Amino acid sequence: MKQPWIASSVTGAAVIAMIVFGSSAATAQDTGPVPRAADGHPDLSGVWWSGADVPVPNLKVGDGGTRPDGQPRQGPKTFAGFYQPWAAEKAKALDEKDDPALRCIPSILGPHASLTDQGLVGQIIQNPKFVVLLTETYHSFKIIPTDGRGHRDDVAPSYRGDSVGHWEGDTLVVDTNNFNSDNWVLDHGNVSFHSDALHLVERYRRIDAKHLAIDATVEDPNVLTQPWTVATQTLELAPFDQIMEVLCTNTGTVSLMEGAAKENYGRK
Amino acid sequence: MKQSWIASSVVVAATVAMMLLAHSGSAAAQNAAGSASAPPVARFFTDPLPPPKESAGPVPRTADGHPDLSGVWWPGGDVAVNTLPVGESRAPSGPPRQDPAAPALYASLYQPSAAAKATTLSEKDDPALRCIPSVIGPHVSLLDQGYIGQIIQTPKFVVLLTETYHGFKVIPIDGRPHRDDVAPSYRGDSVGRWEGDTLVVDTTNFNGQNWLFDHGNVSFYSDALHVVERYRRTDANTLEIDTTIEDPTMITQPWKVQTHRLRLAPFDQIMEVLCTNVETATLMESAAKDNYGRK
Repeated sequence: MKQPWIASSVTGAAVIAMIVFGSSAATAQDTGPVPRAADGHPDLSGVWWSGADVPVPNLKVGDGGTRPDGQPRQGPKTFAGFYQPWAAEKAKALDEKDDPALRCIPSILGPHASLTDQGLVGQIIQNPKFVVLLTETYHSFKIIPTDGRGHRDDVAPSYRGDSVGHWEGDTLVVDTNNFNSDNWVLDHGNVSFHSDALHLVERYRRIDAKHLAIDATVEDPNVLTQPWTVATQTLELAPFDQIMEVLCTNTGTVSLMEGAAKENYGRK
Repeated sequence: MKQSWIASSVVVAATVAMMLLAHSGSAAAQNAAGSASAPPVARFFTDPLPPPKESAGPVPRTADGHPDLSGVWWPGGDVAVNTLPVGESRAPSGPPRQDPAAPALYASLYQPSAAAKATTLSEKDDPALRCIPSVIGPHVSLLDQGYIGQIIQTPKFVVLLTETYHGFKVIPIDGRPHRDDVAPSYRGDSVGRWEGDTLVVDTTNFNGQNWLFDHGNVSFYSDALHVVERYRRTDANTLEIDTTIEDPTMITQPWKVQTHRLRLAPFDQIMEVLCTNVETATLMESAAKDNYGRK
């Protein structure tokens, strides 16, 4: 099986930023019924990607008013659009090269919510107890218990935070807190610092056999004046069911990026 | 739920070789071992745990009838901290292995060219210092550089999640062959199949750029590496892993790794323990001070 489309990159967000502007357009036609797990819930399992090429602009720090290509932003505000004054001031002193992603530190949100981190492909593994998000680029994971338990109270703050999920009808609602404040948020072509008060709620909904819609709301009362509602991201089911290994190993990041680009990211 | 026993660390094998110093005695660990007595203590992190004295209960099974390997797995006992010699067939920090019954190590099977190469290397050459995952960790590929791994099993995939270095391996178990369309990688390409109640995982297509880590030694290998691991849940609380490693361009015969035995941990979610390279040393120090993040 060939995987002809390139959707990964070993990238620091600020450097290459394979980013999807706004929400990708889902095809209108229904691609069939939503697969369901034995327990009756929608089965979110599969490899998900944007299904289309995306431009590669630079990222801007904390600029909620313009797109990465410098044009005025159309549509909803980004995280930085709701900065408190001090945060807007802080952002002026920062540059894309300050992005911790350059040191192989994962982002809070990638181009497509928590699923893809710095890349454009993610895989979901689902069993009755857990939904696991696997990210191709930076090659890591998030474990989301869906059995009704509360957040863990015995783990230190982390880059990806602590997640719990529950089903609201056919929507998986994932609540994440307990972030450290050492990484950045990436979305809509902008990057930004955040505080450890960050609270992320994502809603994953498989709308038909081949489409996954993700809505997210981000609260950060230490940095923002009001919650940030992220524009809906719609992903397509990829024509393969296993992602690849795309690591960030820091010292080798630049050379890996170049090599990956030359070699079609390893996909023959 | 408190997770009082420390089994993670942001560690690089060759430097700190981390490892579970300490601690223990926790009731949780005892429960995990299915025994009221003190948990078994491994002299080195490399030494396998003994078999359980009595069964901890039947092996859970999935709807399709196969054993369910899901859970968080760890050594369940203390391990010592040692530096990791490169390519030397001896106990960590100890004299050359004298015990003729001791299992062979990868390096003890070196071809002459490999033995010569090993003399030019030291632990600081270990790619793990640059946040590159190892082919196998202290206990095969489930653990990478740490001591805790989690298995998530579905009818189609078994997924190995590693706490330290926070990576994963997706193992399809639906009968498909290896992928022919992916580049060589640090963790290789895996496929699995059931032989009775044993999950046999076949891994090829390694890139040759990371090292092996097992039994207190580290070693380079070649991209001809072929790893076959056999995962067997022997009772509710015990996972046994047997591994055979072939590398015809480096070693003179296949290396049969000593059986590793892991216990089911008393919690079912691992933590986030990253290697971010530039700050690895700092993280290691703070992790040790902070009880590895577990309160």
